[in-house]
Amino acid sequence: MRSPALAIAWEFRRRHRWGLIAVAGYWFVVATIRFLILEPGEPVLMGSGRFAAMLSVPLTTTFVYLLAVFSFGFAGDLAARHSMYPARMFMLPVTNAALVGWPMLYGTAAMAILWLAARLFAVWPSGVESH
Amino acid sequence: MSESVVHVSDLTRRFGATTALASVSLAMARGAVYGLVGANGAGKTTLIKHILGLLRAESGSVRVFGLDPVADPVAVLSRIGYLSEENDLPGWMRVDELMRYSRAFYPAWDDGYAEELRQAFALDPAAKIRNLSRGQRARAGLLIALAHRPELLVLDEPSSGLDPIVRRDILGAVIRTIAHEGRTVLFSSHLLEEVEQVADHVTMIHQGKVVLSAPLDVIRESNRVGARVPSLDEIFVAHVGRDAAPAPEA
Repeated sequence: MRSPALAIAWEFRRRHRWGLIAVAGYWFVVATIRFLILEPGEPVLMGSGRFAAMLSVPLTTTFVYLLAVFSFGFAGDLAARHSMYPARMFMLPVTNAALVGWPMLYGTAAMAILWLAARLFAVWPSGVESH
Repeated sequence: MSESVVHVSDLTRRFGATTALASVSLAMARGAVYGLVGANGAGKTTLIKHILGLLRAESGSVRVFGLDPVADPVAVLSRIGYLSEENDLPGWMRVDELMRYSRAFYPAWDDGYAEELRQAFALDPAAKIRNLSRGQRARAGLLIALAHRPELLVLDEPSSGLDPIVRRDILGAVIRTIAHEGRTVLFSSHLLEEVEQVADHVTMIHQGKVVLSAPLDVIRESNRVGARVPSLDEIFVAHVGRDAAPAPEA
């Protein structure tokens, strides 16, 4: 780690590596089905129950999980009066903009990747839809 | 006149109806150890938070290395090593990860010195912070505070609740730090005998006010009773009363 930006990125990756690996694994499976198992353009019709189990619930869970990760939601007590942002980071010699900006940027990037993954692998153009 | 590392002028801070600091003024010259003593709730940590830029001065001013620590936290905090009683380290990190992580934030980080400190403190690099004893966590915090060779080392009640061996390590680190020319230490504690061992200058705070601030030798000499030189504890009690004096720790 040679810069605060990399160190903050490493902190997210290291602390939540198993969760992030699980998310990546899920999308790997979905992408494999999309590109290797299904024929191009082949629609996949499934009932609402299967659609929820395979796509809606994992997507929603991933969204909430990433939101919690990048807002330090696992770092403190939700019921506490003070912020869950780690107090130790206020002592680091970086600007407030960096302390706030890098986590926001990484979180935004993660959400954008999640949205792209959902569009590419699950919704369009694979034709996976409920009926 | 020596250059001031810290210059606090007429600093007042209130939290609601409570006055935490009342017109506090303090100047710390380079290359000395400053003891900040007072009972719990006297205002020591509030003063330190202003010096670190964690609180903005409501009235009065705070300058560290001639800079406003709130306006310029990077320039100020990169030259400060800080260890507090809470010692809020990330429990999920390993010791070696904590060292690599911290290095990214301090351009002056000295890998060789960090490793030397790790060995001196007998910290296992593969150990998770959360699995360390309280004393070992204090040593890990001290390592992080010292490895970038700070110009100002701030220790806020660093040895509360720690065993005598860890306290000795912390005091040893203070002595090593000041051995490097030009380094300054601010050592806050309610353990007056500890402060007495290392401080060149003592500031006593009581109910947010500075009741005494002078070189330790001058304080001792001016409170001498005949041939007997009283301890810092006795001097503190003489100034603020027995009820307000900090309780000794075993």
